[in-house]
Amino acid sequence: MNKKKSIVILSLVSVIIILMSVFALVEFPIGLYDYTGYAKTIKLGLDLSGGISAVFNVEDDGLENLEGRANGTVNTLQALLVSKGYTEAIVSYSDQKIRVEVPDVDDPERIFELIGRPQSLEIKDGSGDDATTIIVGKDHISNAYVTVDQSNSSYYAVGLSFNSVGSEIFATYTANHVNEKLYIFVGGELQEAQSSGITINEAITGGSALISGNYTYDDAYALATSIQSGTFAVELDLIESRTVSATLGENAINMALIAGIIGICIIFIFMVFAYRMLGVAADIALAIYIVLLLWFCAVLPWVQLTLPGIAGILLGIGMAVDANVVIFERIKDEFKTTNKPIKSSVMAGYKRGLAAVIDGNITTIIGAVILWVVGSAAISGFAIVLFISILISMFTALVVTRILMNCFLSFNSSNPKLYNLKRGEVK
Amino acid sequence: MKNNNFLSGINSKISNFKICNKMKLWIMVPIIIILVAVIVVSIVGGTSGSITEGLNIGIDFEGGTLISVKFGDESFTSNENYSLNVKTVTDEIESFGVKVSYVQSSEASVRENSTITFRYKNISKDDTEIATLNSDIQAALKALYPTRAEAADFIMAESIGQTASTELIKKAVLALLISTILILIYIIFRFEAVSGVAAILTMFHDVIIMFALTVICRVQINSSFVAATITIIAYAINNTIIVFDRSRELIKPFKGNKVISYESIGDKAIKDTLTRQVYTTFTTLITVALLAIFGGASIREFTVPIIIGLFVGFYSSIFIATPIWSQLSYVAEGMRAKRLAGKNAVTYETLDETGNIVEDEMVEEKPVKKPKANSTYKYTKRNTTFKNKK
Repeated sequence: MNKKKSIVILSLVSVIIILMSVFALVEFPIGLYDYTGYAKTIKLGLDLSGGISAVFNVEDDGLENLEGRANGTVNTLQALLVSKGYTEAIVSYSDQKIRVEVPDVDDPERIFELIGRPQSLEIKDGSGDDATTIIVGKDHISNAYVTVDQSNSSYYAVGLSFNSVGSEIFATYTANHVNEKLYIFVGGELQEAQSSGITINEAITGGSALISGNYTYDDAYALATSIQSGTFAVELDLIESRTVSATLGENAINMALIAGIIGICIIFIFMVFAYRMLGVAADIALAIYIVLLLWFCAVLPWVQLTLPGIAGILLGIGMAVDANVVIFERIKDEFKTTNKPIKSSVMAGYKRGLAAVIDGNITTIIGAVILWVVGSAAISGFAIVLFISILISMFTALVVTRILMNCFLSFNSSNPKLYNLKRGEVK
Repeated sequence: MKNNNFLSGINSKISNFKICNKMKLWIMVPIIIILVAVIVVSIVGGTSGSITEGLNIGIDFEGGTLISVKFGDESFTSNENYSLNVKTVTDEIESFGVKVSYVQSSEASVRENSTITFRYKNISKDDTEIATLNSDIQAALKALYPTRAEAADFIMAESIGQTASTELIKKAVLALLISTILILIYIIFRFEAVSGVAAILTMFHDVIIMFALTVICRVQINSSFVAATITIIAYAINNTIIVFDRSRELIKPFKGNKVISYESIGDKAIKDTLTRQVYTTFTTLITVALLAIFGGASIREFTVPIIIGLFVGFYSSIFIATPIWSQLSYVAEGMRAKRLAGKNAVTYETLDETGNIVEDEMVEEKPVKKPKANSTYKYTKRNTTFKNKK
């Protein structure tokens, strides 16, 4: 490699690093849109953004198509959360478990009211145990909402929308039983406000009905949401719940940033100290590693940065340095024990260090992949970050450092002190 | 070059130092650590009356509920105030029939965000019942502090039922087993069976010692610990592989020799790779340690086991993996020789006469002897064979 080419490569590399770091952080408008630094778009896990997570066990009720109904419930839940303004909510289903994650929640209680205590709704023709059930929430009702009480506008009522089956049953029943009473049971208990029953004035055919009982807004809201969650096609059992305050996550990120910056500076200085120009090459490669890692974390859709994920990044930095150290030690050895010039020592060092670097990294990759596949949500978040960082670190250590080394060597390949190499006992 | 001088000083000392033939000595360290852990567990477990308490098992594994109450400034102003608040809340929680097993305060950098965390075991196996109980308790606590309850996230709760915790353990064990098997296969494929077995034994050593040290340090055993353990397994095996890679290279010229001193090859491999082991452990440690220092309690739960693991991995790659490898190599060679001897029973009588001290049970089985303890085999660059330099 000649000097000209080296200068071109070195300036190209520095331009890439500078541009990548600038684009990671800045914000500016492009036409109608705002560009946000990619480092800021990295998706944060619940433990960093704050919010709630809950895992529900889907009760196996022995009826057919549990899987299908569970998936239907996932959609209902998702729609329910989005309709209440939690647009970032994630609902997923696997292994008979439904996981709900809602980031940036100020009032976790509200969410649990929404999803945590699903209530079944039943409309019966009597208040006793022998009463016949006419309408069942999960079979016949598609939605429940809060509305203003039409008879008294200072109160609120709960509106019910029936699905096609429900509206037909309700229409037929009310047509045949005018002037009789209906009783509303929520969660198996008779609603207090209408404990004496609601009189059917006429056939209700519109597919909707109102439950009015001089509710305040909060009461009506609670009733509507619990009926709404009662429309889930499967029964849910809360088995795990977490509330994380956002301040905790904010602290964690700031601390990780401080720790990361100081740690990286120490590593930079250490590498230059120990290996001089070789160390400079490693440092530049490490800088590329960091911007690449940030970029991949922002771009890859399945990366969600969690607390363990931050540790994964920091560990990855250590491993990125490791590959360089292994090879540099080989180069030193090579120079010390043979009569080879610097250039050939570097070549030989790379050749002989390669097996160790690859073997070591592949075992780590095996561990990361297994964690990714088998581990629970928090652990796999960490495993993905670890996996990506190992791949990038192998690239930067084996390819980038080597190119940079060749550039440096094209300027000076005769002064061993520049590379902290020493001759020793020659074979 | 301060660093280099310092290390080369150590290096020259180590060049005269034998590691592989002092296996009994090196194995004492993990044994002592395990003993201390057992003592700590039995003391803490004995006084609190439960083994999970002794091991400091987190609610992830045990099933239970954590409630963090944000008291803010006021409860941290005086000790009396603090203990009064703790007592009030504990009494309130215990009035529901559960037992508070653990109270921890964490002062945030913004005093207003300081919390006290209460932990109690679930008393029921039924997940729905647990959920209802927990929301009742939270409502009661809010009623207890009506003014503070209005603040955002006054109460943070984390609740894990029986089902979730058993599942977590299942997944962790599964992940551990699968990765062990795959890594073993990979090492056997790239090196040989002896290295594979030695690496896996070292891995088990790392996990056990990490667990023991974590228990001694009173850090909670929870899902963060599982993540840390698997990280360390994946990471520490790097150290082992670096040494084995060197041994693999050093042994090449001697393939086919009848008497190979695996100990001196191991020692030489350790010496050659020592700088790398120190540098890498240092550069990895520095960021993780800084995170542990700056980060809060929840970060520390994850970083402390990793820091412990880094040290354990450093120790084991030098003092455990390589001695095991050299000892096992003799056994393997003995077995190979036996197999050969079965086919062609001539060669090994002469070998038995040359140098034999029978010092442990492994030696009896094998026709090829370890070199005598008092004769030194020195590996030199000029010679491609070992010379007996008696």
